[in-house]
Amino acid sequence: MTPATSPTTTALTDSITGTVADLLGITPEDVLAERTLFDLPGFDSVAIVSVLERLEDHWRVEVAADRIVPESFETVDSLACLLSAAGAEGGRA
Amino acid sequence: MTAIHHGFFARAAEAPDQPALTDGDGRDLTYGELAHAARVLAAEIGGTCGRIAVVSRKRAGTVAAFLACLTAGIPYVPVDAALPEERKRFIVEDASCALVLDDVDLDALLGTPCEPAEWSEPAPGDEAYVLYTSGSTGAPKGVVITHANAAAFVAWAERAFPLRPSDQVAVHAPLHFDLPVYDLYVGLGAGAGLHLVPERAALFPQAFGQFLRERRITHLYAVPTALSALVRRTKLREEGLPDLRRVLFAGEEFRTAPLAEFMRALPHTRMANLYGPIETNVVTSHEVESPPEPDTRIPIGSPVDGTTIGLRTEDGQISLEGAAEGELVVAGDCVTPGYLDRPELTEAAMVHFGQLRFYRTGDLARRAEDGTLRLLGRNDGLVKTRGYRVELGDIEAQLAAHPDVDSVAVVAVPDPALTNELHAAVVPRGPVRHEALVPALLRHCRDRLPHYMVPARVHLLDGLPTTGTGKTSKRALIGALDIDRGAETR
Repeated sequence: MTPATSPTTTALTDSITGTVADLLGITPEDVLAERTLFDLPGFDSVAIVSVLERLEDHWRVEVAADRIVPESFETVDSLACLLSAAGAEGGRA
Repeated sequence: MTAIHHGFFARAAEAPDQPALTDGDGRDLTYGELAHAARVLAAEIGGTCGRIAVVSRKRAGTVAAFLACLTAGIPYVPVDAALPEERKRFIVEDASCALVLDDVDLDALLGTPCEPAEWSEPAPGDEAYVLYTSGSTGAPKGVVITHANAAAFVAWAERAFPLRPSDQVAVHAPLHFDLPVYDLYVGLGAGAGLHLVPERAALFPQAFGQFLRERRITHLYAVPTALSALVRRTKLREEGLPDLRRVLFAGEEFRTAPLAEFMRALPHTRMANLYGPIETNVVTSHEVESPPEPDTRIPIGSPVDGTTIGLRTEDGQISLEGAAEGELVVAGDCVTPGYLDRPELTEAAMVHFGQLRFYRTGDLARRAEDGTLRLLGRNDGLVKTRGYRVELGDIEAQLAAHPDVDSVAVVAVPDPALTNELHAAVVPRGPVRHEALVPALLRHCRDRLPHYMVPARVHLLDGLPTTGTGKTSKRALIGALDIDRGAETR
C-alpha cells in the first residue's frame, strides 16, 4: 500500500472524508472522530451507495461488485484501499 | 384461535435438536434451547404488571424476549435499538412499560434450570404486542395488536405461504416491524430454520446475496428497496440463488422496471406482492407470475381470508364488489382495536358501515370488475421511503420546534433508485448563518427521529409557495427545489 504520507493518498482520504461529511451533513472532524464509519449517524445502505458512486465519479474508477462489502467501508483508510485497488491512485485526469 | 407462539413450543417439544435460529453474532440456537431460554425468561418476568419494552436488535436474544413475553402473557413493545434516546424514552413512557428488556443474556438463561409450568391461554382480545409507527404530529403512536389480530394473519400466511422443517428463512426486516411476524411465528411454528441477516450484511447487497447463498435460504420476505438492491451492483445475475423458492415483498410499491430485473435474475423463484398497513398486517396478496411490463403498476391483488376490503367514496358509501375507486378500507379479525391511549386518533381511523367496522388506510385504490385491486396513491401526508412508513407531519413538527425555523415543509421526491427521497424546505427565522444552519437542522433531526426520517437534504428558502387557499403547495415546492435527480424521473 502507498505510505500514508504520499500526496495521492492524502488527496484520496481527504476526498473520502469530505464526501462522507457532505452526504451526512456533518463536518470532516465528525467523520474522523468515530472509530468506524458505521458509527456515524445515517451511514445506512443508501448512504453507502451514494458515497461509493460519488467517489467513483470523482476518481473515474469502478469498484467491482464483490469488493462492495462491509470490510471495505469500515474506515476512511479501508475505503482508500478499495478505491486505490480500483485504480484511483493512478491519478485523476 | 391458536395463539401465535403455541406452534413454536409444540415444534420444540417434538424436535428439540432441530436448528431454530442463527444470528449475526454466530449464535446458533436449537428449538429446544430457544424454548428453554424463553421459558426461563418468562418465569423471571412473570407477574410484571404492565407492558414490557424489548430493545430490538437483530439478535437471538430479541426473539427469545418476544417469545418469553408471549409465554408470560405480557404484551411486548419492540423498541428499535437504533432510535435516538429521546424517541426510545418516549415510547417506553407512552406505552407505560413496567420493564425494559435489553441485551438478554442467553447464556445465563440457558444455564438456568427450567421448571415445567402451566401457561395461561391468551384470550383473543388480549394484547399480544404494540408496534410504534410515525404519527402526523411529531409523536409516534402505538398500534395495539391483539392475539386475535396476530393469529388471523399467521393462520392465513400458514395456508398461503406454508413452510416446512427443511425450509430456511432469512429474517431481513428489523424485528420491530410487522414483516418479521411471518418469519418468526409462521417460520418457528413450522419448524423451519430462521437466519437473522446481520445488520452489516443487510447494508451491502453483495454481502446479503452471499448470506442468502451460503445459508441456502429458501424463503425471503423483505421490502422492495432491499430486493432491488440485490441486483444493483452485485453479481446476483451470474451467481444466482438456486435454493430460493419464494420471495414475498411488502411495505412499498415495487416499481415495475426493478421488479422485472429482479425476477429475470431469479427465474425459478415465485414472488408475491403483499399489502397491508401496520394496523392490519397483510390484507391483500397478489402472485406475480411473470416480469411486469414497464410503466405499469403491479396489482396488490385480492383480499386474504377473513378480510373484507371496501372502497369508500367521497359520499361516505363503501363499495364491496365490482369496479370502483375510493379509499381502501379494511374489516376483519386482522384490524387493530386502535391506537394506544389515543381514542381520538382511533375514532378518526375507523368507520362503521353496515354491520362492519372498517379501518381507513388512507390509500386510494381502484378495483377492476374481476376484483383485482390496484393502489392509486395517498389522501394525506403519509409516504413510504426505503420501505418505511413516514408521516411528513412528524418531521415537519420536529423541524418547526427548532428556534431558528420560521416555517417548514417536507416533501417526498420520487427517486429512480429508491421509492422516495425526503427533502425539507425551511424558511429561517431572523438573521442566521445559513452555512451553519443546515448541519444544525440535520443534527436536530438525527437526535429526535429514526435515521430513515432524517431529510436527505435541507433547502433554505425565503418563503414557501402557497396554493390559492394559503396552504403550502407541495407540488410547487418540489418544482422550486434544486434537486439533483440523477436520471430524470417522471
